[in-house]
Amino acid sequence: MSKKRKREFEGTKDPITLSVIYNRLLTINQEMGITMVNTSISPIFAEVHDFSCAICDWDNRIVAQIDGVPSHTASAMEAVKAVSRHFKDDINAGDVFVLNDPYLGGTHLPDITIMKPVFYNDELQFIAINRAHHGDVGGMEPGSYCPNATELFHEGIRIPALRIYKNEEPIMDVVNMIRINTRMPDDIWVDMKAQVASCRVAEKRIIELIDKYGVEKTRNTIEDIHRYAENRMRLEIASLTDGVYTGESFLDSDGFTDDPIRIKVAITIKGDEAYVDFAGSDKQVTGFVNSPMANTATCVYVAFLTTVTTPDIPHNEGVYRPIHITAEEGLIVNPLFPAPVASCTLDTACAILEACWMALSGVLPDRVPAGWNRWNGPTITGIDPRTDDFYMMFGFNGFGGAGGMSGLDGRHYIGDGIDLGGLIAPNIETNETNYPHITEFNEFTEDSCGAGKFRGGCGAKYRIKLYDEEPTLVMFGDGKVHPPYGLYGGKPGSCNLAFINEGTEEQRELKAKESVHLKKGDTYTSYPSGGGGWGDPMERDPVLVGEDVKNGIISKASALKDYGVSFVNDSFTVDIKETERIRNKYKLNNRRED
Amino acid sequence: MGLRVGVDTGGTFTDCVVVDENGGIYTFKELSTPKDPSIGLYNVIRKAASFFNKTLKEFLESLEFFAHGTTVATNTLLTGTGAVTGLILTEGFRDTIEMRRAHKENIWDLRLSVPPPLVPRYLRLGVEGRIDYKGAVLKDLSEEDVVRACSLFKDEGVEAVAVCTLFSFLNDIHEKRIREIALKELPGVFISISSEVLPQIREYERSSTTVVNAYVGPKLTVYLSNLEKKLRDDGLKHAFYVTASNGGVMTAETSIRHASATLLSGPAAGAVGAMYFAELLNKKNLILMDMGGTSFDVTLINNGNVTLSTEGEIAGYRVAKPMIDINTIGAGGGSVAWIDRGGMLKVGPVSAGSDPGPVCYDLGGSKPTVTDANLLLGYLNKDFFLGGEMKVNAPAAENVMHKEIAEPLGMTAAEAASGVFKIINQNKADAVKVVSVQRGHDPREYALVSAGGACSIHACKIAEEVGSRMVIVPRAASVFCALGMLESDIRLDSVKTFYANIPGIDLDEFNRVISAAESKALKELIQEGVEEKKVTLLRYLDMRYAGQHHEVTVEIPNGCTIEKDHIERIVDDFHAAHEKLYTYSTPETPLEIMNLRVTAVGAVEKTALKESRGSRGNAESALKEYRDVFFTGYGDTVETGDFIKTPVYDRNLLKPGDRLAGPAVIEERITTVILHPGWELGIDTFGNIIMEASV
Repeated sequence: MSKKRKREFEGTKDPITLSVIYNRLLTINQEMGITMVNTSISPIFAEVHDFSCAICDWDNRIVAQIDGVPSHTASAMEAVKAVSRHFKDDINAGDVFVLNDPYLGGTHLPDITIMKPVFYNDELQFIAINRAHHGDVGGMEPGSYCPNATELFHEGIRIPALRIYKNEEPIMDVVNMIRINTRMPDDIWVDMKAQVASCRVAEKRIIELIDKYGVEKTRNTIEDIHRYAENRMRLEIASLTDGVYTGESFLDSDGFTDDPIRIKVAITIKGDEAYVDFAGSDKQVTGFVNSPMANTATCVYVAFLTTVTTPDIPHNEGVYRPIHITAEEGLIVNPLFPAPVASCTLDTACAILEACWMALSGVLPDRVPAGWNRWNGPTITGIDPRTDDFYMMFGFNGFGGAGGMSGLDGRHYIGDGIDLGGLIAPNIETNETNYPHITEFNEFTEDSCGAGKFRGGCGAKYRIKLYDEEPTLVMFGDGKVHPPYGLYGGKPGSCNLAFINEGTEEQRELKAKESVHLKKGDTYTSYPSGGGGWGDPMERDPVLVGEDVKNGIISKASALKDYGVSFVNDSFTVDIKETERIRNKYKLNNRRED
Repeated sequence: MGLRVGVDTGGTFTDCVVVDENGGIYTFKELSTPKDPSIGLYNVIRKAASFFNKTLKEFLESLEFFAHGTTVATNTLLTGTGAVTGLILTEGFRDTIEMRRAHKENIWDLRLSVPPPLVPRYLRLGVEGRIDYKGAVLKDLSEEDVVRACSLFKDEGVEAVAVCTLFSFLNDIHEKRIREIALKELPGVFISISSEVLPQIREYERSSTTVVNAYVGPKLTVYLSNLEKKLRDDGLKHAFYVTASNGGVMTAETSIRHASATLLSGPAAGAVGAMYFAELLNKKNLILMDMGGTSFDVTLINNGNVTLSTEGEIAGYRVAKPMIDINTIGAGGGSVAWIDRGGMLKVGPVSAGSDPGPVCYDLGGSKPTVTDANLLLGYLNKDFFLGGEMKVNAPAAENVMHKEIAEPLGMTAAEAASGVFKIINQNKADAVKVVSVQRGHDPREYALVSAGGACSIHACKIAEEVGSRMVIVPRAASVFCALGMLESDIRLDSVKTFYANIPGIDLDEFNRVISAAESKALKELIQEGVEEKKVTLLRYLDMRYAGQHHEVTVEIPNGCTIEKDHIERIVDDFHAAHEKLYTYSTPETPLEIMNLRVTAVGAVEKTALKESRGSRGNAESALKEYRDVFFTGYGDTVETGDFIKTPVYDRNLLKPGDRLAGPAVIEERITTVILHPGWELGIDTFGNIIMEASV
């Protein structure tokens, strides 16, 4: 056996039990997600799936995390550590813990983490975790995205590590304290119970697993699973050329000034380790785009897990060991308490991911995509005239496009980069049944996709007309100034754009971050960005360009200008000769410029 | 009573089961003919006819029941060879089917691509007209828009039209008018409207299903109408039925209209076969496992009935028709074993299929598969593969196992094969847990039914993993689906969106809706040729806690007016179902009703299987030979496992009353049964193998 080959299998003593137990944990993890989807009442969970489930071991290390949105990756470990720091030995069977504070192991305040310790032989073995984005946790604006917030206290209720169940019974004092601080006290409690139910399912299954394998074998195998994942990540990193790779991206603004905010990253590949440093990034800002370290780290991990490794690698603590992340305190990517943070899981997360992807594109050109859409949609709240009840709706329609990549066009209508298609858009029919509005359109925007040999995906234009009396609309997006980047000659996608009453005398272009009060009959229209293109569009197969034109994905004008493709008269038939002539001329010009 | 025939067209073989007047079962097999499946069907019924010493005409004339499971719709979808389809929809929403609700099945796989939309964007045309969430018309339909769309369709050679407008499940006025116009403008074109295919909220799921229906409809129409005509010309007198995804049968004409309901035609029939066994053996709780070359299908039968799920995905396309809840994973005989870069042994999901197939087939396969492992472990007989019809290359299988798995992991080829066997069994056990444990059923209360030629090699081990203590290998295991068709009732599902709250439900209104839905269902079933007295109407409600977004389907009292007492029972049943599924219920929360489902069942006469009397078993006469077979958990082999000299029996010579203790091998031409250590085997009076855990 060659030396290299041998090294690959180091650390796995019993590959068969390893495979069996690891798969079992993934199945359990998936079952947690199914329980949450089917029993929660907020559309954000049941329809959209904005939550994640994970299983940590006795040492606060994630062992399995397959179900959930990428923006929760790995950060659940910080919450579990906070519980163990605070409660030490006072953690018992029948307990459930809760936490949301971003400076104590949370992400942003709406993400409430529920943790249930799993005991066997009176000993803590595992912790089942469910982190879920609740509709409202108080703060200045309904929906808890507050563009005017200047400190965390403005953004809603802070929950440190607290016990919320004892002996399997809820501690109602704690529950009521949380409920009274939200605008949706009933929903939040039902949905927290759904979170607990999903952890209970995991508890039951984990105990069955230990029944079968015993504590010692289970624990040893868990160590193997960590080692196995670590080993795989090390192998992938070792296969990259050593060097320092840099990337940079900009947030439009923090909502208070129009100054762009720089995120700079240097990724050093050295042997089988990666060092990720954010030196040169801008300082923390006044508005709600500051990204606490757990969120920043998550974005780095997402960048690695989507490009450096293949999708079947376990997502556990072992896999993160070879990645070392540093950021000076006080930077936008590691702010000091109490800077506001609510939009960091979307806006800043997308920008950090983009900076990391750009850095990695220097060493993995065939695996890194062009830029994806950044968040555009709003929250809309008001009193539904049909029921006289308060309602809160997230803008989960009107999604943007994915970036193109080597050999593959970006998908249309997939959403922002950090969610990677993990959020599911609700149907128009369910939306109109749930909320007081009529949808006028929701379909691909022509020419929104960045041109490229492999083009970006289109964003979808979306318009609704509101019929409640005094709706409030809060924008908390970005990418209105900075479009999704193109790679290797590909063009950037379109920029995010949104209006109130577009096409009327009352038309008003919305800022990326602001809160506005509307009246009955107003319309909201959004044009989310399409993804960036990959590679020179002049090299795109003209047949594909022809199809895109016939399908109204791009216009004939763009076909000619960006792709150098001409058509026979008014038809959709590509004029091959003319196209060749245009493209040759383009190549000649390019050579001259060189 | 004449002969009853079921023919199931599968990927490789077309199976035929004939049941005679006395309940005798006869099975026939021919190669499938994918280009024109009716050739394979005719080949196999000719074979059957000649077995009964009849001409084709005499044979067909003597049939009193003919059921057919077809893969025409499924293959059309899988191979992308359906009709050129146009889609007419509400203006402003032309991309619903391509948007796929922005969902990506695996977010970590940037390269994951989705199948192309069945209707390209230029053939998806919006028309003016709008209905709101209450079913009120906000804007009238623009008939000019519809005419314009049809004229473009004509130019583009469109062969089928799907129609799906917003909220048509509440008000179908626009869709019906669109169909009228399209029929006039595009004579001869196949048209599906969503308010008929699936009158249910959620436009993505509804339009996707309607598009699938239109896309596969024309091919299925041609196939079934030609076939039925030919069968009639050749002598068939009685009804010709097609099996549907819901486990029932429908006349050819109805299946054409509901083409998307035939997508699981074959496997659904297998589940019905298992239901029949449940009745026959008086075992009400069964889990059916069917293993083929590339996949493993699991279906749960609870209290004698299959569970239906209201939607699923086929070939990557969302289809929301009621279908038997079959959990399919990529774990078959052809599943490839491999070691990933971190040193973890994995089996599947890549499959060598039947071409090139496992290494031992000698057809060019170069990766070790489950079949290769089974051969190496002595489970499969290298000298009697497919009854000796096929030569296998055992040394090649061993070499590959050694090179690809054993050497890198530092073990022997047998240990590696045993590892592959263990992992595939665990994957299968997890699939069994998905339909049982995850749906709130305890597999320890279920017997496993093992179908498919190689499934019974694994069955005892899967049973151990899930805690089940009995495995049944039915006599006609390899033609299970075809047999199942003969036991299918005629079954029509309908769904009607009906919103109500409990407390607060208007009972008069509720009973009116039920009665309207039931008379419609009854009428349709009578059109299928069922006598009214043979009809049973079953009622279900899709219910949830107020505010939830996903429903639990609960059966409600049938054949009566719903009174206040009934409602209390329904509420209790819902809480219990919720508790069972999701570990909790909240009786203080009000309930919402979303849909009423009515299923009309026309009972078909069931086969009375021939029962033979038991002999005082002496299995020795069935003993063929001894061979070395690898077992774990036996004697000294508990931990690592080893080869053991094991008796091999001829299944056809085993008689009712015979009993064996594991380890043992039971073989016939197609099926191999491995009786693992710790298991005992008996033959029941119907000739089925029953294996029971002895410890």
